[in-house]
Amino acid sequence: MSAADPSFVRFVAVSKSFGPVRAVQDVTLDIAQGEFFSLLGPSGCGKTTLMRLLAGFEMPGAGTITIDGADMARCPPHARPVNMMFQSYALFPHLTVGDNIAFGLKRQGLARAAIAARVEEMLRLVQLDGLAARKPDALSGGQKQRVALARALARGPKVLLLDEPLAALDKKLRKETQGELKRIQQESGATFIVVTHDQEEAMALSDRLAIMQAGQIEQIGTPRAVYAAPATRFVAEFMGEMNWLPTENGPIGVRPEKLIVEIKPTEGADVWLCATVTDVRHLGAQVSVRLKTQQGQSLDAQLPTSSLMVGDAVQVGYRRADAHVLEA
Amino acid sequence: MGQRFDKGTRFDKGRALIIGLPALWLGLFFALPMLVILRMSLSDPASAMPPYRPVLDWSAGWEGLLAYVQALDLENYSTVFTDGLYLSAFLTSLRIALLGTVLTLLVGYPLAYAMARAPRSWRPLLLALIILPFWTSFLIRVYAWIAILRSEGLLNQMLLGLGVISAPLEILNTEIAIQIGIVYSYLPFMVLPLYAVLEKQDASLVEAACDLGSPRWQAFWLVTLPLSWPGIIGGCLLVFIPVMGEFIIPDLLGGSDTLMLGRMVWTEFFSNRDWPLASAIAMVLLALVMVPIVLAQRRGVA
Repeated sequence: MSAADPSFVRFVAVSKSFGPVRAVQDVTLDIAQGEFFSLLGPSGCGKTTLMRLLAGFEMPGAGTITIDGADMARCPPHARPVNMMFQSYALFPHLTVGDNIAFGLKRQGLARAAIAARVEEMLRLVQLDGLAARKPDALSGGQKQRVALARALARGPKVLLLDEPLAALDKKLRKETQGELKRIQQESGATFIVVTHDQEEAMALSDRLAIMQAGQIEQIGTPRAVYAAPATRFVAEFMGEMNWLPTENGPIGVRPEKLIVEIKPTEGADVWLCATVTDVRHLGAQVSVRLKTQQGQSLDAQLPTSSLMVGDAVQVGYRRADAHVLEA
Repeated sequence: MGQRFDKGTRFDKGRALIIGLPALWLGLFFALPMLVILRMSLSDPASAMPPYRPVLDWSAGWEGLLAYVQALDLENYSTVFTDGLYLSAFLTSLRIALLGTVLTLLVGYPLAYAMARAPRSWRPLLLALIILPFWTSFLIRVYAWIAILRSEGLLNQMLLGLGVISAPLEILNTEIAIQIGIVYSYLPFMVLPLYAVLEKQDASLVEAACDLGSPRWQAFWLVTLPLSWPGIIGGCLLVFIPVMGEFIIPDLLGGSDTLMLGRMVWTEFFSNRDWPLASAIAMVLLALVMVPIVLAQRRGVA
């Protein structure tokens, strides 16, 4: 097998407006074959529009979109090598689970036996064996989610689009399903593109992610790289917590887990500030401590353990290497 | 335990009232008149007041009741089923009602579909436009069609003026005029249930069908249409049932040779003063329209 194409899905200078609203502005983005890629951002940032442009439900006002080298400009949704898992799942309520999964296969004109075999295979993949005859109404939320995934994967799409795939599940199920999604992506070998507003989900799942705001991409990279070196203030705040400290060269950002709290300054940090503990919360594996500096600045620190009490006078420090200088 | 029992009886009293009131209403104004018609349909016509026999003689006691029951028979029904006139009126009604329902569906579905897909802010206005004709008398609206359809009417004048036709079309007093009247008058009854179903449909279902390889028309055929069955059946029942007994539209717009059941009932009742036969026709009509209702309820959609 040839090496994975690094520009398997390609957006070049793509823009899309709805009336006066510029939903996507001049987006250029390459997604590699077999990659698990997340489009991350707050609601209204354009991530869903970007996905709908790829599925063919919207047409770009400017720019080109290619999938596996083929220009999608004149390609209607039903002819694209892309399948989508809808946020609402969009299961056909009048069809059984089996017929829902078979829907796309029938459109390919496969033989009856081949369709039945593929439906079985898909049901096994999402661990819903034996539920083929059920109607969607008779399924739990988690089961519906799996049927939607199986239906979208059944045609063996080159690219699978997942619109907030875990948003409708409860927290425990979401954790389980994250692992499940990752396994299924590796087994199917398809390129997965997930739209989500949940940064933890995006970090846990993605090989790479793009953070969007106001129709534009703020930063693209691996979750670790983006977290460790956010390119903008928006990214820094969207990807986890950030403390902002005023300096003469403008504000610098330090992650809560990079703050060091001691009774006296030590070698462990380059810069120390005097502060008072205003709140201590034990969160099980770690302790969240809120501090107030002498300048009146509130800081959040995350420490592995701590015997600090509210009112304690402490030194709070950080290493220069952990400080981010970012434009607003 | 006792407290629970008390609560139960109080609840049951409330429930009895809630169920009892409409039941009483239906009994008084629906079941009782129906029984009167049924009993009349088993009687014989008479030149008297009331114009049917037998009449129950309460003073004769049990024997009077016995004589009364023995005098009832199914003669009117046998007339209805054997006289070719009534049979052909049944078939005409059935044909016109079926065709009228299909035509109304063909006009109503695209209308309801367009309304359901229209921008959300337009929908109340569009709905109001569909309901608006109800503010005018049904009779007047059907009369208006005479002015439009007759030889010197608006339609012919327009078509002649445009040079589309050289001689006026004879539409009034034909079945075409009846069908136009039916589609016009019953369109809202078709559109409203269809709109209710289509408007609720999740737009992402059609997108999902397209995404899974269906062109737009196929997505409509495989998803939108099957999911609108309840609306289609509901709308068709709401049109078919009243059209079966429709009297005004065939009377005003149809020719004298188009015999529909509603007209038969009217003629027997008022012209021939044969109340029992008119009642028998009405009962058969009732039985006939019950069939599609029962079928629809079996399928659990009505």
